[in-house]
Amino acid sequence: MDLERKRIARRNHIREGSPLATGVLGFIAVALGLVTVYPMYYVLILSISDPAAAMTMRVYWVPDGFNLDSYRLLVRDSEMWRAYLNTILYIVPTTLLMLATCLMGAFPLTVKGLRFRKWINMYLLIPMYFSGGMIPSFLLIVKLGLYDQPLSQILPACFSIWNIILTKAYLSSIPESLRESARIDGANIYQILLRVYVPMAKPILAVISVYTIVGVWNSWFNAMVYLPHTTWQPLQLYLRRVLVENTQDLTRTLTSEESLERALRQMSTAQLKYAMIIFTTLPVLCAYPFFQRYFIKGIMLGSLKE
Amino acid sequence: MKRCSVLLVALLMVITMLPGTALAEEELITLRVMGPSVTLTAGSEQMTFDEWMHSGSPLVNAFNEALASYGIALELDLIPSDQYQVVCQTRLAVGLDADWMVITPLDVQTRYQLVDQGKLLPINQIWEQYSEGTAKDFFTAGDGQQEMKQFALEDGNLYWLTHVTRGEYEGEAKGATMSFMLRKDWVDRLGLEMPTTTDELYDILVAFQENDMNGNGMADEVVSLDLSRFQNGIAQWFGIGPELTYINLETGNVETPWQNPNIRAYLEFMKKLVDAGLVDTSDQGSQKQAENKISAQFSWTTDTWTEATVTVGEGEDHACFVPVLCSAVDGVEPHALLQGGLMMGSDAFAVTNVCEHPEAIGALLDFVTSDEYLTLTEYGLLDYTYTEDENGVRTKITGDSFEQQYMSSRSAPWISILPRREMVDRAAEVHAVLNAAGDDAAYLEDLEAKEAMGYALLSADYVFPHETTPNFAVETPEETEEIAEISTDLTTYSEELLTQLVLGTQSMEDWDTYMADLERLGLNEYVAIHQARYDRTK
Repeated sequence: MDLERKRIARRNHIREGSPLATGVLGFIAVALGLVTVYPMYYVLILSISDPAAAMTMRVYWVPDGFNLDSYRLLVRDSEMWRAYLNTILYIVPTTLLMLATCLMGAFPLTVKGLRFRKWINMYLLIPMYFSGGMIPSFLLIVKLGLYDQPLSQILPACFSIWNIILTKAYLSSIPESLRESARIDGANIYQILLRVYVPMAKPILAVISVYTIVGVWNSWFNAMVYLPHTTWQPLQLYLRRVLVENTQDLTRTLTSEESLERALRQMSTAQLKYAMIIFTTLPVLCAYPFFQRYFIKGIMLGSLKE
Repeated sequence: MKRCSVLLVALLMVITMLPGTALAEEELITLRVMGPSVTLTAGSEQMTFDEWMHSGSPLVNAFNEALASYGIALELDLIPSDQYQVVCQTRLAVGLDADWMVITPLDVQTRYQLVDQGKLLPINQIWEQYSEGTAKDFFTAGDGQQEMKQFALEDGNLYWLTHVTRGEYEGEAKGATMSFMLRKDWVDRLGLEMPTTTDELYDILVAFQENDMNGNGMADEVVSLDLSRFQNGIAQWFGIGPELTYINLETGNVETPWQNPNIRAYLEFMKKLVDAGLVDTSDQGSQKQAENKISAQFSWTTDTWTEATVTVGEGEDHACFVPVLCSAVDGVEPHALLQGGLMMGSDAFAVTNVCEHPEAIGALLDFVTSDEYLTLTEYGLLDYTYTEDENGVRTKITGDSFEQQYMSSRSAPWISILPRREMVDRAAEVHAVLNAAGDDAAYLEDLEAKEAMGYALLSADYVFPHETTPNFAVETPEETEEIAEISTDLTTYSEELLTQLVLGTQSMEDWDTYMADLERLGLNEYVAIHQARYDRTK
């Protein structure tokens, strides 16, 4: 009877490791991978194809001709390099400040005897869900003298309640006995943080660093609102500018002169936007394989409960 | 005695030096100007307006010198044009204003709020008080009168200025034309004549596909049109205006296409084109244009820049789109689309309440309404960007510098921050299409046909104004509110209904339902508001 049941089970269920299961799953993975990767590949081959072919977008699998003029144009564009430098200038201090604020915000919350800990937690949670909106934020930035200053991209972005909660959850998993033994050895609270918790918090710090770096790399909206001049604008805002100027309907303009102006601009930069996309995503694409495990770990960490 | 003489001479020297010192110390009044930094293109080069204004070029220097002669200098705060709207809105909200601002991105409702808050100054009061005469004459006796009529608010004040363009053709005020245009090079290749009726047009479009004009083995020669709009040249052949409301110049009434007696005939014709696969429904007009798949399009009559993007086969004639005007319905004259002869622009320039020198604004207004500014803006510098013959006829020339190339076909770029007073010779504008031919004799021949049609459209007896609200009075606050309430849903429904009827996804049998829906969404009220605005400008 048992044998009979087992035989039926084997007949009706796909066993783990069976060639059929592997084949089906592999096929789905390849298909999903193609769907994900192909748009990027499409942009890449358009960026290196002949400009006329790029304008028609008739290129599907292999480049039509080979032309690197748009990359040469891009490399010679000082404004693009300036935007690149600005982005890097924002990433470094923002990441460091984010790590500092996360540690200094999360560590006290891990102390069991902290007074009003419950109220502090609630105080932190409310602004995570509700914010004042764009105009109050804008007024604050102006009043602080940060308007049209590069610090407007760094200071507001260096503090995240979500990251504090994430860090707090991770630090809480560090055994309390380590803190106690450090205290017994005569360490003060700062030494406990710097010598005990920080070395052990490297995984969560790596996760937060990666999230912050990617977030700052992709950000453009704050720059659009707070940086009205191009001097300190980041790369993504520059990319957006190039893309936006190529998508205007020429017959919905008021005068034929405006149409001519925009048509000329669109023709001269048609391929440039593809090269621009590749150029701006290349660093992230190259760096991602090295940080992939931290992204995965970060997703897992977010699911931890206290 | 000798000592007294010396002292007297010294005293005289000091006294005579004082006025000179005062003159030397006389400073220009600086006006802070905020506006968009547009991108300028000349050939393969690009430059932002900001860069150009700091380039120290001859034209920029001439502009600054001209301003200085009026006692003013401009301190420019130029924002990239793609983010100007956001910056303009946020700055005005927090009071980071300039003396003179481009407020184009702000809608009328926002402008009313700014007026109510006292943030915008009445410009008419400034020129009445501070103009030396030029601005006053322009706005009280010249083309600026229309600007007052159109943009003055209920309190009788004018709070923003705009561009004023006067076009003339054969002594009459005429604007530029837009039209439905057909590939004349393909028509010639088939040995046919340009169509004069919609039936002939249909046959020619079918012939294009049957004869595979682009030689790619597929019947993919299609017409590029926006199916969601009536502004496509073809609707006008049926006596239907270009927008949801339009002026019928013959009756003086504001009408809507949905209540036009020929609307169903128009929809049936468009559906016939779509059913025959003659219309591009992919929304990939630019790509198809480059691939030589577009057989007809709707564009400015003087458009030669689109033709430059078409890649034709080896040995084939250059692509050339020539306007056509076809009869569609018996007893209905095909209408052309024409901009107003005296046209107000859509840009808006305002003076804010932070301006401490209204007299400088008065001087600026005198400058921008002067002939000197007009010449500098439209032509540039004599013998640098234009020449003038003994009869005073000016001809633009080109040169090596970016500025010379730019000015050879456009106006000076400072019109993005200052109002423009343009005088356009429409005949010269149409004639200029021939310049695109270069050494191509066949292309020149086709362009001559385009030129001829351009003149014909300018002289057309039956026209519709190209704009939705050509020279209409500005909306009252109540009208603004009502339009804001109904226009979004109404225009969305109208565009979707039009598209679906043309594509055949909705049936004409439910016509009464559609009309009832349009009325429910406020179509009649929308027409009434525009009629009232039009009546106020008559």
